[in-house]
Amino acid sequence: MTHSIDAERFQRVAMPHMDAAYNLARWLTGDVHEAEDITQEAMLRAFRFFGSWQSGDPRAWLLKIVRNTYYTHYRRVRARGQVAEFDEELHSAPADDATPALGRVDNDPEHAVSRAQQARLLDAAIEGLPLEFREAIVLRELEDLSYKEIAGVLDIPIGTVMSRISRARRMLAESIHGANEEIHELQRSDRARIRVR
Amino acid sequence: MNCNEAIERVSAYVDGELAGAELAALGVHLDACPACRRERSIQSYVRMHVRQHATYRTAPASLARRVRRQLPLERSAPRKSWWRGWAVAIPMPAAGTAFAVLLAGNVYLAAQVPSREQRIADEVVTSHVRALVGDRPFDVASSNRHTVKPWYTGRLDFSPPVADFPEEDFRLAGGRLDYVDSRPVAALVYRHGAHLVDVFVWPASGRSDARASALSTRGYSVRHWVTGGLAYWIASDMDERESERLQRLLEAARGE
Repeated sequence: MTHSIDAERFQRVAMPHMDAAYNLARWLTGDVHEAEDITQEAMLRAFRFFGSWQSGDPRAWLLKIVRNTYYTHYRRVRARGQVAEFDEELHSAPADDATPALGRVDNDPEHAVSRAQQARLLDAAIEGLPLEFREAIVLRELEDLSYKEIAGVLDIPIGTVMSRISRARRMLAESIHGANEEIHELQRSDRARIRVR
Repeated sequence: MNCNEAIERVSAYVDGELAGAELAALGVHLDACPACRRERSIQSYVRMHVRQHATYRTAPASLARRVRRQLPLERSAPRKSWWRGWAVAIPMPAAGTAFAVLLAGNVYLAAQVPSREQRIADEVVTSHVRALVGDRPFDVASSNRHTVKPWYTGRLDFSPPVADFPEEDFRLAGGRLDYVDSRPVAALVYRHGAHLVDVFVWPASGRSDARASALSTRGYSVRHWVTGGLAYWIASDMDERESERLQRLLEAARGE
């Protein structure tokens, strides 16, 4: 087999995007070891196919390889009926006209949820998203890819990208809102207890 | 622009992905529609919140080092595939250590770009080991071929031949769907004494019957051949003689 690949050029062009590759892999599998495995394999495949990369964004190209590596080798195929159904009713916009309560937490120091707690809650909410919504939102918010680039990585029409990001954000809004309500409830009952003493 | 159209485009609006007439039309609609304005605040808030607070996972430094080591830094003549010797030297792992072998085994890619055969062998062994250590070696658990075979209908674009050989001590235990060589395949699971054996089957379009090849991959044995337009790959920890016996049984059953 002839090597027309310049290893040094690959190091310069593709290696800087290894963090992006790992980040996507980590959000897809939810597992550190698998993410390392997937990233390693994807980088080597990228190297093998580097000759076919002509131009365009090497990061988007690499992320597509990561995603394909995940779906080809690591995602267990589930028997029909076991994939969670997306409940449209549950996730449509709220009926009342009030601004969502999401912002309250940040502005109220007495009821402040720590930044670390917010990060943990949000990470858990993203991990809880069904895969097709999770990958879209990670590529958009964490990798800052355009809708067109996301459409290329996920191999779907731009309209579907728009719809998935839209719904992903609504689902996250529900999760965040629900989690904040729980925290508020706990804090309220804590304060009530302290007053009684 | 009506509400149904508008509400779908709000995320794109917030992401700066709308332009021209669409952008103008949505702007006009938002001025007049509290429901869509509420949607905009949700989209906008979540966008900002995720960008500020979600964790960007960075790769451990050791990973970058490992990958760099594996990229050949200069063109070199193809070296002897040392990975085979490495695989043979490792004793048959117990189930608990299987994953460690699985992860470490990917290092074989370093020596040279593997052939398609080696790559597929690696994939079937990976799948086999996962099935051994995981809790779901089958999607359909049955020793009845009249249960297993129809299960694949609608799930695969071909119908795999399914047979049971209880008198030969190859007992059908069930089947699952898997992915090998970038396509969905049937994985038929047999019990042979204490061993669990995976037989992967998929269409081998256009290729004429090929004689069997046997490989050793990471301590597991792999045997593959093509017959009647189907590729068969057996992954197990049986010895070559037993694999060969199963091959003969499978080929004879094809004739039914």
